Amino acid sequence: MLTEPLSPAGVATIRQQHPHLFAARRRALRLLGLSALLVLVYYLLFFRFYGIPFGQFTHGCAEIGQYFLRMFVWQNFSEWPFAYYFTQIAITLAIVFAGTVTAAFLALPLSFLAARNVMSTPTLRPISLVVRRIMDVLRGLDMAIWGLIFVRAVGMGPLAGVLAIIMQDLGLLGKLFAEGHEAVERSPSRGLRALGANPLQTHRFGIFTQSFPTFLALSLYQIESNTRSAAVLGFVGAGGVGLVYAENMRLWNWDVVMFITLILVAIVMTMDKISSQLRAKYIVGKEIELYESQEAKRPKMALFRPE
Amino acid sequence: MNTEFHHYYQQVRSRQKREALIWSGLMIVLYLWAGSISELNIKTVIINAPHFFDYIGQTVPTLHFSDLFADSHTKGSFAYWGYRLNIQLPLIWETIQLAFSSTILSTLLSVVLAFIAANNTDSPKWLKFGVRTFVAFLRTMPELAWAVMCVMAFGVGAIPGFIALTLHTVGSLTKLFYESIETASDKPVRGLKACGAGRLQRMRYALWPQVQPIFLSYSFMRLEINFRQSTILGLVGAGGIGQELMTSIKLDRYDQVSMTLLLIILVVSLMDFASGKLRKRVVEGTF
Repeated sequence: MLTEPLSPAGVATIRQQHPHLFAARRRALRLLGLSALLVLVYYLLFFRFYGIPFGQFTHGCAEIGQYFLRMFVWQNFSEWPFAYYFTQIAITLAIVFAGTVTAAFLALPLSFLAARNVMSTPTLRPISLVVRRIMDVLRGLDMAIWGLIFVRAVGMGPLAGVLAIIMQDLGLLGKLFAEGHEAVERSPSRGLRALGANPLQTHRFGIFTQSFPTFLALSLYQIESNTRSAAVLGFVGAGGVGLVYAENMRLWNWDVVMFITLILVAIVMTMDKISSQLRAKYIVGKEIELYESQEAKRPKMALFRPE
Repeated sequence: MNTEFHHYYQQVRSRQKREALIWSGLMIVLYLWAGSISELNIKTVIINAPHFFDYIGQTVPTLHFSDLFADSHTKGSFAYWGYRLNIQLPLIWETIQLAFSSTILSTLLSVVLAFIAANNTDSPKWLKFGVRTFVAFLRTMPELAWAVMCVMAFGVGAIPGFIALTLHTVGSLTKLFYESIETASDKPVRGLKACGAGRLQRMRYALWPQVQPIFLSYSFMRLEINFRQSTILGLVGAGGIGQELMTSIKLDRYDQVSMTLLLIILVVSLMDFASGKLRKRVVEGTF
């Protein structure tokens, strides 16, 4: 037990006895110093190339401070067009829901094509590889970029937003679903095949029965996460609350910006609650009590109880 | 016996059927409602479906097989397609730098903030509460909203993008960090306290070794997210490749749209791959 502080001489003895411990400490410090230096040099270079004059920076900080001050002073609160704000928020929610649900159902067949345990024969292998690459591409572009492309293709409005969400989620959900299919227990499939089930039946009952909860959970989670990020769609003209954001920022209505942000926080929190409850109730679910015959329920032998 | 089992089976089955029916009914109603609001309905889809990808088709450049490798003045060569690469490549580089610089800085800031905000580090209550509210505010504003704000304050360029990304990343990383500090084991802390270690020493030698790998893997995750985010910052003028993409789309420079998209996809998947490899090496401790 260590009850009193060590004398310097004691420390010196320990240092002699276990040099490797102290060497490790020195090494760690050297590594830390080196990485600190690297980071410092990196930032010096970064600001050297992309930096702005100091005066501009302080001016900008003052400006941002002003925006924040304006955010907390709500002027003419009673005259705000609330109906408009709430319609836009409803549109955002509708875009997210329609987009994610469509994407989930489109991604389901794709994910079977991408799962390596479904596409197990050498002839089918290349298909899964190709589908995976397509999904990588879909996922690689951000929702806002898809929005921009679809605004150009189908015009401004919520439809572009829905299509953007579908495109991005097709990549994301497809990959996650495929991973879900790959993570299942293999024995049911083998059993089914031994009973003479054809491949389609094997996949339906051997794999999808097991990965169905994953499918539900991931889709639910994606709806939630898209609600958070769907505000960007409006910035590029693809409908929804982002439009209100962009408009009011340009008009210097920072109080409205703050108001919308607060509403969004409330919505995201409610979504969290609802989806965690749904998850607990329907995805984790209740155990179905196993069948027990009346015969088995009856006590084997009546206990003798003295009256 | 058989009828008994049959009865049990029917009971379970009818309950499952009822629930499935209720939920799918609710989903369909919600879906139709959402579709009607967001202009997604069968008619538009059927009418527009063939044209959805027309635009993407238009952006595919015309390449002539015979002079693929000719100089930039011949139509149909790679060089002709990539005539703006001298502008696009520096912008892609800027995008990567934005993601890197904002992730590193915000990781450093978040570590400090997280140790202040965590419940088990004995920091003053008002400070804890203040930091938590502050980071919650930082992460609820969308990145693009921060970007617009910074562009209005600092002017067009990479620095507003850097500041916007950093602010948002600090918001989300701090939350992840302090939650992982709170799940760390209490035993080393108590042990060190019994030996007379100060507050900072307890943080450094009891909590830090436990949370360091988690912090690292979260930072890598965030780096990957920031690579994607930095590609869209340019849409509002906050630096990076997004600017080029937006002007190309607006000015109908079709072949340049496909070039830019190709660059973005390439860089994002490359960065994902590299970051995944690096994460494996760093987090598993095999430098």
